[in-house]
Amino acid sequence: MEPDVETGARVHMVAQELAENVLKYSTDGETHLELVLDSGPQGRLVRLTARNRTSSEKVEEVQRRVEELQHARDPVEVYDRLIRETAPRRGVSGLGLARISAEGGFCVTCSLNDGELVVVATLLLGEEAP
Amino acid sequence: MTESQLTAVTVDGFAVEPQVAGSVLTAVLKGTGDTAAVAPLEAFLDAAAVEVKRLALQSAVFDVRALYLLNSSCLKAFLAFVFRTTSNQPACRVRFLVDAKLGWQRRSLVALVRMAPAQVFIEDA
Repeated sequence: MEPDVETGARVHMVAQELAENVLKYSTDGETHLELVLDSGPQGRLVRLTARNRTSSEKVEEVQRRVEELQHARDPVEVYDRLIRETAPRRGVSGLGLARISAEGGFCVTCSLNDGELVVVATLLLGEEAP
Repeated sequence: MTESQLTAVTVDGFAVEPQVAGSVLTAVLKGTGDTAAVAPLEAFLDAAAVEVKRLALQSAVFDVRALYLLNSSCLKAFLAFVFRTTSNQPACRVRFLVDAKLGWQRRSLVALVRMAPAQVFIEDA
């Protein structure tokens, strides 16, 4: 897949969701968001990394959500279930990570590094140009 | 023109212009649906859901062609609106008018169609 307007729109959406999450849930006001265009064994990729210190409850919630997405047969099914669950409720959507995966087509992982929650969203762009 | 209590929303970088004619609510959204837009959009859609019920409106049309982002909290506000209005009897049809050149609009909103396929529609305009 060539980087194009559609890919740009996906990256924009994912950057926005990650940025809003780290800003909203940071416990020390310090946040990081990094975008890298890179090459890997499977070809070119775009990778967004969000880092912040946050509450243990938020860490657990993100880990649970990411694990659910990683084990899902189809992330759209997880996203649609969350949509049905959240529609009647007021307040925070809780849809961001599932949206990144289902709508954006990104692979989402998370880890704890020196007390920081690190969320990585990766999209494969295809083979290297010859 | 039907007597509606809906008022336009204008905040920095985001606006909603509503109009009720006959049994149809039309709302034109412009700008960026980011964090700053969440609270005003939620308030507008809460009021719109009340008006849909009060005036027994049959259709709500959201023209999002001039919208350049819709974060998940704004999307959630539309989910709540669809949930509330499709449980009316008869259910209110919800139509989104999108710009076919901006593929993200349809891609983002199609989740609402999956939630309520008999009530929510997306049209290229």
